[in-house]
Amino acid sequence: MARYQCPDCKYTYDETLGHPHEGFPAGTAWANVPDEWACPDCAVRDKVDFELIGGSPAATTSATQAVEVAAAAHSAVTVTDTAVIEKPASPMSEPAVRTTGVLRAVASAPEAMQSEAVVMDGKSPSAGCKPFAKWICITCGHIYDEALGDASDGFAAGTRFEDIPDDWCCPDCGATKKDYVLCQET
Amino acid sequence: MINTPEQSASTVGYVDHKRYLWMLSTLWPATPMIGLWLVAQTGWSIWYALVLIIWYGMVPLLDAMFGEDFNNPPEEAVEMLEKDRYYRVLTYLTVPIHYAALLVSAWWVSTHAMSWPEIITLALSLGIVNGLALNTGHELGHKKETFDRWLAKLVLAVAGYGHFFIEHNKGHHRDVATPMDPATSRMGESIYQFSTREIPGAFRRAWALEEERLSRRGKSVWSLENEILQPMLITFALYAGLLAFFGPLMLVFLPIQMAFGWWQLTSANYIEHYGLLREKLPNGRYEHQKPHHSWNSNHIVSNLILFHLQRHSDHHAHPTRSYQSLRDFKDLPTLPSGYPGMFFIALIPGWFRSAMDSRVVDWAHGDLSKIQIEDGKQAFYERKFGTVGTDAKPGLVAAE
Repeated sequence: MARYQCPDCKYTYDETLGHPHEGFPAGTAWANVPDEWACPDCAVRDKVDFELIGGSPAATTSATQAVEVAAAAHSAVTVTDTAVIEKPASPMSEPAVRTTGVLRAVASAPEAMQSEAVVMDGKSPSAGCKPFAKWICITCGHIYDEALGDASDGFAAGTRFEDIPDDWCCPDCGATKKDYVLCQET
Repeated sequence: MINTPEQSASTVGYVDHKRYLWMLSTLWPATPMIGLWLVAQTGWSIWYALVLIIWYGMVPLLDAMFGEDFNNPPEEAVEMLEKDRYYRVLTYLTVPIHYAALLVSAWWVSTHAMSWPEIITLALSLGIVNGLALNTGHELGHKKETFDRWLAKLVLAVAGYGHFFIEHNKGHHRDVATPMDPATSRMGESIYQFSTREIPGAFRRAWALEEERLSRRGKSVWSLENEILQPMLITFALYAGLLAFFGPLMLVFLPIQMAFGWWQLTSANYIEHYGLLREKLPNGRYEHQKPHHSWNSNHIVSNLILFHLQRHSDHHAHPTRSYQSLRDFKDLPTLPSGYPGMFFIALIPGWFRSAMDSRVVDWAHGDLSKIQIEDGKQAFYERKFGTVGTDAKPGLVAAE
């Protein structure tokens, strides 16, 4: 039984509990919730945006269902519009998901995250420096990746977040620099 | 939990200077009763129009005088603000005031010798307050708790618009700033044209959403669990009671005050997303609802009597955030006045278009393909503004 969370308002769909008011009795597998179903609390995110936050998906023994779940989780990762990193999760591995502004790999998938790091087209920090971090806009999910910088705003690859001027704003939604939080990969 | 400001300040070093001013939002729906009291004291029938005068006249002037408030609560203070019951209690207290305003006005109409213009004036004044009932229902309907949602149904029933919280929360928020949304107005569309699309379209969408939910539960749409029928039944009981108590005059008085309440909502929907359009992504979905997909207004006076409704950009990006913690963002599409002033301007389509059309075009960087334009007005706008194409993203005018 797994739990899925709305990345905007943190509403959680728990397969164990279902959502009887919405017509999903306790035990309804996430895979059986219609794709076009929107978050019942905020409605600004749909099922495909939801993120797996715990447990393992119910009723995913058949191969097709496993693919569906992985595909849903994949779109949750890349739906940030900026898509700094895009790597499809393999159907057989646990998908990598973002929760509560913290980027982390769930359960047994550290190798997936490492392989994502390999495909990044950015600089690597020089020896002895702290590793590059990613910062996420809490308003729209835009990610500022220090390794990549932001060419359109004039920040070269490797520009640290603290070196960005304080009056800089999120290029996607206009939120302030203060509205960014550190993404931690654990 | 209700914190004193000092407690809050000691926790995160933040004092909400608007804390007690939010009481204005709670008390303002009582204004028709103050008007009636003034009529009783002075005998002047001008006081029947008290709400209309304040709403369309005084508040826009005060908005111009006091201007805008750009203050945001710091992110660290938001959790404390959201947990502080004081702000919620203010919205709860508004509900009985709406019932009182309706009952007292209905009683007054039936027990005093009034001319027709006086009756209609009072009904229109009450209509404005019904618009506020929809605003209160809006704030309550976005909350996750059953208690708040029931209060939302109760207060929406006063204005006979119980389907609002289904329609708004699950329909409008999902579809906003796309051609699917009957509650998003198009550039060049007058409020009168818009109302013929919005009022029936909103009801149809609400009904379809509720039908879908109930069918998943194996229930008929005509069951008592239908959350559109529930408030509708309250409205029927309430209005039938008023008719029984106060006589056939209610057959005229109630429809006018109800319809003008609906008109307030139509006005709000009309100005909140005028012309704005979310971009369609390659995968066929629309981009997420972001702050720049709503017109924002930081005008302090009208915000204080509307539970911050005008900080609409943050509201649409984060619908479950409470009124006291809504934020302003840089470079948002901004209304030239608060809602009351804009509602008035909207009544005169030429005036509204001259105030807004150029703002919409600026928002889209002159690219008309990024704007929702009324059918048949495309050529007119191309002649007026040209067809400058650009790859820039909307909402970033000042950033460049």
